[in-house]
Amino acid sequence: MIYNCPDLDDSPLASLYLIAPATDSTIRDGNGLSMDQLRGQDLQAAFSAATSCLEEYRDAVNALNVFPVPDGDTGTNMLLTMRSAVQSAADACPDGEDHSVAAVSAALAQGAFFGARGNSGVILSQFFKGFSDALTGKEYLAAPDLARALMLATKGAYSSVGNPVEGTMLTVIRMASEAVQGVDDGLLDLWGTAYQASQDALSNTPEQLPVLREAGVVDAGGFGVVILIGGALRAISGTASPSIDLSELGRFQGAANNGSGPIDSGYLDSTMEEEWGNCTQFIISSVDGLELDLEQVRKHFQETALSTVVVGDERAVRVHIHVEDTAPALSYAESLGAVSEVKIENMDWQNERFAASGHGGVKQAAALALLPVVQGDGLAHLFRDSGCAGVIEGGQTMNPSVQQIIDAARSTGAKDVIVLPNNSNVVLAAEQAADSEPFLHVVPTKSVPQGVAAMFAFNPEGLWQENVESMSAAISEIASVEVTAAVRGIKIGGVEVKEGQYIGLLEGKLVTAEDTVQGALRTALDLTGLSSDAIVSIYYGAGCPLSDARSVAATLESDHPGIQVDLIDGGQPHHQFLASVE
Amino acid sequence: MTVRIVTDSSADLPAELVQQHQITVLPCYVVVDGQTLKDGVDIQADDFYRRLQAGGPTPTTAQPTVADFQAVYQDLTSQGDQVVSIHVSRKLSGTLNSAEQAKGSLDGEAVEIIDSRLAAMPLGLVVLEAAALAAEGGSHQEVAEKVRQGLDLHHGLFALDTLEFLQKGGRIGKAQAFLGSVLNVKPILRLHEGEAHPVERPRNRERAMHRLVELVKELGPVRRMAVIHSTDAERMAVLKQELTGLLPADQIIEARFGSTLGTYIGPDALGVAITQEAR
Repeated sequence: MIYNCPDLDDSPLASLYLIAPATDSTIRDGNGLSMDQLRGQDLQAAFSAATSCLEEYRDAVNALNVFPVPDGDTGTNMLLTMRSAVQSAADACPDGEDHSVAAVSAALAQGAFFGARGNSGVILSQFFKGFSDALTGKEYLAAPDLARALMLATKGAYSSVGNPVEGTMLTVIRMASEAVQGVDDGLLDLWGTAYQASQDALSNTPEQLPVLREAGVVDAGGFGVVILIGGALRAISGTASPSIDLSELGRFQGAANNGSGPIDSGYLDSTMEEEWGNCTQFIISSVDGLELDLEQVRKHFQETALSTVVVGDERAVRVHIHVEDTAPALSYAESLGAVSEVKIENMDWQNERFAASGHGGVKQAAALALLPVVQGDGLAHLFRDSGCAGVIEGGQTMNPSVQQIIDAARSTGAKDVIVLPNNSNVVLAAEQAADSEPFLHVVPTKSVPQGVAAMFAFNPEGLWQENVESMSAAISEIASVEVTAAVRGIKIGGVEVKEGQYIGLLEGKLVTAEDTVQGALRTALDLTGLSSDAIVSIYYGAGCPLSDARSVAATLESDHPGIQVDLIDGGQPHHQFLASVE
Repeated sequence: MTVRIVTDSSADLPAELVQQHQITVLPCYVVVDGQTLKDGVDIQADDFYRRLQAGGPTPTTAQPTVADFQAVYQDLTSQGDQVVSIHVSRKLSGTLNSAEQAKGSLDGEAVEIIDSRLAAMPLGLVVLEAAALAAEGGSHQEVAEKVRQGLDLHHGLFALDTLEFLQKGGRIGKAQAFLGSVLNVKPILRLHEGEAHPVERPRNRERAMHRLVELVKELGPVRRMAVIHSTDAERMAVLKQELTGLLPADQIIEARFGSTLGTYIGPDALGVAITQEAR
């Protein structure tokens, strides 16, 4: 019997993902393999080959990972999960011996379970669990077994996800399974049918999932599934070195860029609410022989968390959830058994890293949000990292409009918003915004150092009135220094400035002009009257070498023993240095 | 018939007080480098912090098992004693679930379980209060009722070196807002309604100590007080000295965050637990 991938050239995705048609279709009858039956070692070899295939196209799968905040790349997650699966099979079922498909599939399932990474890996691991359940006690895999194995694999995959979404790898798995149910065909033909159906399902994913349509791509996890089914088929059909022709995939991606365009931050904002919180993963293992109730665990997390994936059996349960507060989830888990491999990632930070420009976007609707006006990546990061709901891009030369401030404040979703103008030229616009919007409040910070001081006094659990009071008080407890290059010569208040010199300002007033940037900073700082318990924070600007900041810090520390000097990468334009003394 | 007090090792009660008041302490479990160890039994604080600071996989904790509780409850009640069992906040640990399941599996009439809504020595002070009430007599229900009524008088304030361990352990909760890593702040947290809440973020240890003292003084007058450290007994001694205006030095209990608390609170942390004078 000669097998060729059916209708390759007729498929709309013909050469997109497909394995090149077999040219050497020698059937391994000589090795004792009947094409209607697979032995354990054949199954093992098939998924091993499928893993190699996935390895080859990992980057292509990763490139499709268009979701705004990657948990990790889909291709990499699936590959690592598969590697763990085939390694486990290799350990349990050594080469050169006969193995049952039951033993191999159980080993694959176990390896996938413990090696699962990311949502795609977890779904994959449940695919193998179902696949293995269907083959319990089986020596060989015959045509009817494949249909049942894919059916249970589909069931497993769907049940692992709290809220199954169509247009993802789940759909691709399900369509592959449905295509072979009740079909009276040989094993290879069935596998080929499943493969074809998986491609059709994949090409349809953009119709099912708007995010894919917008981005003009197919689902990454689904693509991984197609590669795995195809890679396995390729191995089973007996042709060496599988190759998947991806030349057309490039065109597919090109269409995305010409079409609906890359995913923009506006889109990100609209999806952020689902992605906030902590991506939390852990394994619960039973202790004292007490069996775990998988269904109950799943139900618990579906009710208390987002994006729940709960898989496992009565001995071990793997949980992958998104929650704002991880403590109750872990407490619950610990009440059931031993908790291990705890991994927590803050999605809010990932969102912010992704949405690097513009205001930070929507986080969970806090009762009270803090919103600074900031210019410079380092400063934006500093404020976000310290609990601000986002930042309004702007400052020295870019003063945001009243409308921009209101829009940004609204987009936080918070009941009350405190804006930090951080620049004397922005204070009025912020106060005008506050006049028109009762939910918007202003602590009139005139410089970034003042803004930082105010931020440190912020208590997210307090009332806005209390916060405005304590933050305003905090401003007066610090001295604020700015250093910038003079754009022209001038004489003010007894200080003569030549063009090109560096000028130091204290509380917005010109206090010195010097030939070196370090000199200007040092003189201005000295004028604050440094005491031995002072904390000096120096924010060095874009294009200002850290070494300049270090040299000033070193002389300050040697001249004033006991002083604390913190150097912070502010990345701000226009000001070589901003500094505060508290 | 005697009322006996049971707690768990997250209370961090010094051994001499445990002995003096005949308190039963169930060890929590801490998993370090793949080994599951009983807090304070199989692993002591010095060893724990040394391993914590050496890096390696993040330790995790597990509460005493249902079987652990069954054994203790059975042992005490079979001698005819009654039990008041006081534990770490439900929002921070599953310990209470184990206790409740154990009570349910036995004839639990003689056992009263209390959610302290606290952890560490603030919980320890509730336990000491309970021991004092038990010594005055009355049934376990009466003792438990008085303990519950007085829970609001117990407070805990902690000055941490970093929130890193709280976050890694998944107990960050409301303190999330203070997770700033760009500026090396020394956050002060307060136990409130069963969780750690952010209070302030001083910029260095000296200021953190100063603010900790001020915040504690605002809560005075106090009846009982403990100072707590994780790895720096000398700074704890300074802290104690600063607080002698509230209570004479010989009445201030010195305690240490054990392995269970240490998993989350990390090295170089200080804490103060107080019981306010009843209003």
